[in-house]
Amino acid sequence: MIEMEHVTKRFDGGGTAVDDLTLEIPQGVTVALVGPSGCGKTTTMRMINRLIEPSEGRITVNGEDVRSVDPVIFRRHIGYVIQQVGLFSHMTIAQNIGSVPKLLGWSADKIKARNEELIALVGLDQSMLTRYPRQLSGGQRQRVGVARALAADPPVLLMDEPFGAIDPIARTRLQNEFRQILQGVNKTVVMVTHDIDEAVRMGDRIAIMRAGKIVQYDTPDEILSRPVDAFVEDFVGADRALKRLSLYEVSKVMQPGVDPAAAAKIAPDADLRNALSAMIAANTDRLAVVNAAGAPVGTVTRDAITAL
Amino acid sequence: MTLLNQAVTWIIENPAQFNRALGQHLLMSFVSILFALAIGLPLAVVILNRKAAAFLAVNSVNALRTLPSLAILAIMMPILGIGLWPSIVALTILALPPILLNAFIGLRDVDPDALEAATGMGMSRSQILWKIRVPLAAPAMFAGLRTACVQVLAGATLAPFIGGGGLGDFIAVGIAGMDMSRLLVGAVPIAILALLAEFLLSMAERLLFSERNPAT
Repeated sequence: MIEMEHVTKRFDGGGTAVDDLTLEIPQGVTVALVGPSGCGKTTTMRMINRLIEPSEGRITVNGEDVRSVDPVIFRRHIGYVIQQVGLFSHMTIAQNIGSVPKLLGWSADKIKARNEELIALVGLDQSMLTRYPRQLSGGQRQRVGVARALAADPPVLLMDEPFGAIDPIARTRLQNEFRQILQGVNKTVVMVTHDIDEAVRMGDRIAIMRAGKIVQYDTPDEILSRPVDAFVEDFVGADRALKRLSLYEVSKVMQPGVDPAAAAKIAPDADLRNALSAMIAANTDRLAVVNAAGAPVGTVTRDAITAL
Repeated sequence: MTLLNQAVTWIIENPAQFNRALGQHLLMSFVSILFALAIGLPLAVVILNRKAAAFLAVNSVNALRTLPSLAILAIMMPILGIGLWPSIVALTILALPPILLNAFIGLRDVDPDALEAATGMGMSRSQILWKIRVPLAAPAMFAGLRTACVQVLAGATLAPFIGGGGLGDFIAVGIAGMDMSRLLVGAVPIAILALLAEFLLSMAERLLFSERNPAT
């Protein structure tokens, strides 16, 4: 759990990056800090692990004031992922992932076992462990970056534009995969992004920031269905209704019974945005829901989707 | 070719004299490189986070670099007299710029993302220096050492002018006596030494740091 109370950051030049910000992030929740560049989202995140010291206010992580502890030791218990990954090119992938455990004095055997566990968790082959960062693709490096951040099993994970350097096709896949990984490990995650789609896809909650303040802090559904003001409405985009549909799976609005009139098919775990798209493509108002085995399990109608 | 033959014949007939000069040459060069490393590498670390000191050191060393080797030797003579040690001091000064500059720039220009990640994961300043900066700057440091070795091996040729001895002796004698073959007794081995140093050190560089390059 992370609490920020009335946190302000003024820089020497006179600018205020973060202005009297209060934010509470419950244990195990992923929060996406999102906003235009210069809104203070990165500064906000970097104050949590004290890479930046706040000018005013209080930040606690799991009840402990971050200023009461040695920042160097403290950071070993907070995972940190950055856009350019920052892998150490003179170390193997195994040595990279084992960096924090080594700082913490783990035994070589324990580090080795943990490395093998983590490389599998992020979906890479064990043979990667003996390679060097330059032998990996951008997506593979970012996976290693996440594995490295999770190595010592920190309760809190900070991610600064983690997918910014990944090509768009791999990005969506990686986002979905990381979402699964993060749900499996029960971490409190703070993620900075300028991409509202990424925030919607990854965040349990989204904090939309502007000029050092949080404008709206809510679930993706609430933000997309009820933006608090014109700024948020504009920021989430004119297609916010469609974005919101992508939050839900077909199974949520599926009705039992197979409708013989259904002209097209959809999987139960497809999102509703794709379901609507399939209806438009087939010029129909209902789809047959078929499971992976090809057996029909129900029907989804356009009315059910728009009523959501 | 006859000149070269005469030079080889001379070496065969005077092995003691040649070996002594070769030994002096290598000793002088080796000790100067060691001194330059002992001064240059720690200095690079010290000035790393001190802007004013770095500015001063880099510019002084660059100024030193513009001095011809002979001038450095000439400056040393009135200060330190003649003999082996003044030559070593002069050669150390010659070796210092490439070693210091390469080390400093290598340490300074380490991938900022690696530094950010290292700081963010909880490495202390000294851990970042020893575990991240130094290993990442090692290739640059090594390149500086290579340049310094070649410069010193060649620069030691001038040591006889302040009584330092070495292979340059033969060149000095050759010039004084208008004896081309004697001159080659010094010049050819010096050239071979410099080329050999360059070759061996680049081999070593490739062996040491090859793993960081992508597999082809």
